[in-house]
Amino acid sequence: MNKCFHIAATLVAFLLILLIPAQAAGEAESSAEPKQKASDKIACFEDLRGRILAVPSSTVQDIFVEEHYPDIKLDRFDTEADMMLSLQQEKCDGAIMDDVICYALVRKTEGVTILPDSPVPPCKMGVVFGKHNAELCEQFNAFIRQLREKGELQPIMERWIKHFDTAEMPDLPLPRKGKPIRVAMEPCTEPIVFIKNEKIAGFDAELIQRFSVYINRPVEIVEMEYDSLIASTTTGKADMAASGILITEERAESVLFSEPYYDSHSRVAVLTKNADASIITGNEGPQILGIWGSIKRSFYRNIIEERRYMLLWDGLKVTIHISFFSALLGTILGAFICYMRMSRCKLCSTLAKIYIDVMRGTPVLVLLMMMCYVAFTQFDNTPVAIITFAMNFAAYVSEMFRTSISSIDKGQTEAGIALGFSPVRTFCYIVLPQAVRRVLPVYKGELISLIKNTSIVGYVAVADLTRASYIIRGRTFDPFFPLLMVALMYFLIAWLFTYILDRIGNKVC
Amino acid sequence: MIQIIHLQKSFGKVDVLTDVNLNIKCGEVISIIGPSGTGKSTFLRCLNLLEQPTGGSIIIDGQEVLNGRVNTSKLRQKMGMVFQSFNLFNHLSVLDNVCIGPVKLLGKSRKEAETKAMELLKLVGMAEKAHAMPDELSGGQKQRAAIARSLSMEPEIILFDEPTSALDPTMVSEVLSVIRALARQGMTMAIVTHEMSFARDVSTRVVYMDKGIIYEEGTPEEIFEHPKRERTRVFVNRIRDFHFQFHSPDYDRYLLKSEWQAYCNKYFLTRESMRKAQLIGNVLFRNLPLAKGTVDFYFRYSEQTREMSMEVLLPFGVDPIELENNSIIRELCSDVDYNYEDDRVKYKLMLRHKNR
Repeated sequence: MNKCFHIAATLVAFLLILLIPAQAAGEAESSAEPKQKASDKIACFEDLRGRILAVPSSTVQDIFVEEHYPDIKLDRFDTEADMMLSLQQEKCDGAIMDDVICYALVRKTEGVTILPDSPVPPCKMGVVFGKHNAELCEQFNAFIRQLREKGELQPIMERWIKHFDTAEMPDLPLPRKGKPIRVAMEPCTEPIVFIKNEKIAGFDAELIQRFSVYINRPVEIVEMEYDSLIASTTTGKADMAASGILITEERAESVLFSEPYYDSHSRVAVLTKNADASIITGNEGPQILGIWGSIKRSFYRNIIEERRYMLLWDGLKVTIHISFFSALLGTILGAFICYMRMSRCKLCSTLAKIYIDVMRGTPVLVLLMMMCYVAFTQFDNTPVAIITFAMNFAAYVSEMFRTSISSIDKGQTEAGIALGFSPVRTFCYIVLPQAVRRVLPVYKGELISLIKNTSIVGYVAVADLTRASYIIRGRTFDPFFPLLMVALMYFLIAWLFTYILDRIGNKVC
Repeated sequence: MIQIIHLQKSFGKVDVLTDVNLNIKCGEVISIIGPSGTGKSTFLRCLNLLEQPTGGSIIIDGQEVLNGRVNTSKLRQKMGMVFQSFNLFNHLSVLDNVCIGPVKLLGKSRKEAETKAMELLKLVGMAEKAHAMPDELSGGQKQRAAIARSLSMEPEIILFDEPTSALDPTMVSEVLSVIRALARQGMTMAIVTHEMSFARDVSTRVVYMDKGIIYEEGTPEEIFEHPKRERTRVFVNRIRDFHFQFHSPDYDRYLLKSEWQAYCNKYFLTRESMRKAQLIGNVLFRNLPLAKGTVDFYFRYSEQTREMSMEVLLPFGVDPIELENNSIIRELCSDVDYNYEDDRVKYKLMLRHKNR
């Protein structure tokens, strides 16, 4: 009873701590004093000189603005959602991004207006192919040309860009037989590729589906981080990649681009209250909701709408799956490494020491990337990720095992042996139970950090819990709520795992 | 029962046991005494193969055990061992410590083992603490529990490795009386110990080990009352040496003084004894031919008998000096003697002893 109360109290405290910043940010939007005077209102791109502009890092916008407007200070971001968040918190004065994304974002965000002009030259979007896939690239080009000739390309684009709230994926007779084409996508960018009602949608997604019908081969979507998209086509993880990728000379050196299917213009979003009255087009001011109102709305938008809880649920299952198996495998491997490290054989212990040093000295993310994209390219990423985490976990726990085993004084081992136990039985009956009891507290800590570490599997296209939150954020542009939900879920997984471990520990000792 | 022939053990280049020969018969209680670092414990540990001997042979009931064909675990079951640091299994209660062997190794049922364990715990006076954890026990209680544990395997011999060295003085007797009781029951035992009076009353045979060999062995009486050999005598009488080396007449008086002071404090020499020794020393040092080379001076004090003696080794080729006629020396010394040892003249002065 007491325990239940304790748990409940912890959870409530945890939630409150997480909610306070979220709410504070929401309030900041309405309560913050305007920084600029009326005369400082922004009417066009030129007005941004001397101010801070958020840009997606290492994109055409980034490079162009830096080169031509040295007096604009740049803040670089990985996702458009983060840029928008920064804008809302007035950490920057404007956010430049591709027009399609900008329209969608502004539609969903209150108090934001788009500037009418942008100096950044338009850029062409294309689909990426590995250099060895020239044939497929040709087929795709033929397909795009055909669409264009029939005049079908333009309506598809308009449907997604202008009416993305209502746009649906067409109901096409998708081919099921034949060797599937693997397409790498990052479904976090509305309206290009995103998840709607648990299904992939967006104009790139529609193009790919239509292409699938066109060449009569099924498509297998491989979800991954934007940064990994282009690399995946060269390593063979995917045959092609599409997620609104812009064609640049740099990229064209290592991969093949299809013919461009869309000219992307850049647009700058600014806060409506900082914008000059002449450019504000009927965008109403921020709607004031109470604290419960905003939580309720966030909850509905991020969890209930379009059954997004299913995304979280699937992500949760993946995270638990990866955590559990890496912990299990890692513990077994760790025990083995520990055995090698403690063995009298010089070679064994040196090898084990090198292994431990290397594993502990390298970031697990780098290791994961190398395992997935260099060492085991032909395997599915989930088991490879499990092995990677297990390898990393093993290095840490093996040292814990070693210290806890050597902390049991030698005398007890001797007493066991003198009593007539073989060395192995002495270890099992006498050293192990005591070592387990000593290692458990630190082991729990390591296990929790393993669970949290698994959040990087998104980099290798495994749709875990963190990834699910990104996907939801990509749709709702809600800066906090999905992250908060995910944090809570990680907390619960960690709690569940340690609870189980405690139960096992109590039984063993 | 156990025959040990030319047993050798070395750790790397250090020879700990050079040549140990011993026969242990059924029912014997053998005390192994000797200075620290002479391989007593190592010898005991070699007996049940906790250390692998590097040479020689151990024959148990007519069977050679060092040829690698013997099941060492089975062998150890018949040979209980009690350690200096108790080594109870910390995660098990006293009762479980005593039961684990019979249950896991002898295949006894839990119930049978517990009944037997309680009997043994009663024997060592620990029945009341059967369910306590080792952490909750005093040193003496731990050691008694450890004795019960070694008895649980029904061994034919028990090896005690300094069973009371880690105990504080108040707890020594409780452990020793348990061992005494076992001895009365006819248990075969080999005990490495520093408790001389205990070794004297409990054992049937005393083995004095020094520098990796059995230097002298005999009945307790022979060893403690009439040791035949020099080092045994030094050991059993607890003779403490003070040594100073003179290189010239201008020796460092203050160094000598401070070392002497430290020595006297360390072994609690009485004021009276100190005064006597200093008087003789003054006469002696005045007469020593210090200019002729290195002179070694020894003062010996037995903590056991309180006898004091002095020894002076004169440099090579120096004529004997006249000491007998000095009045102080005549008065304070019972005996003055000299002989030649390795071409050096060695003087020996026995100080008069009050009790004699």
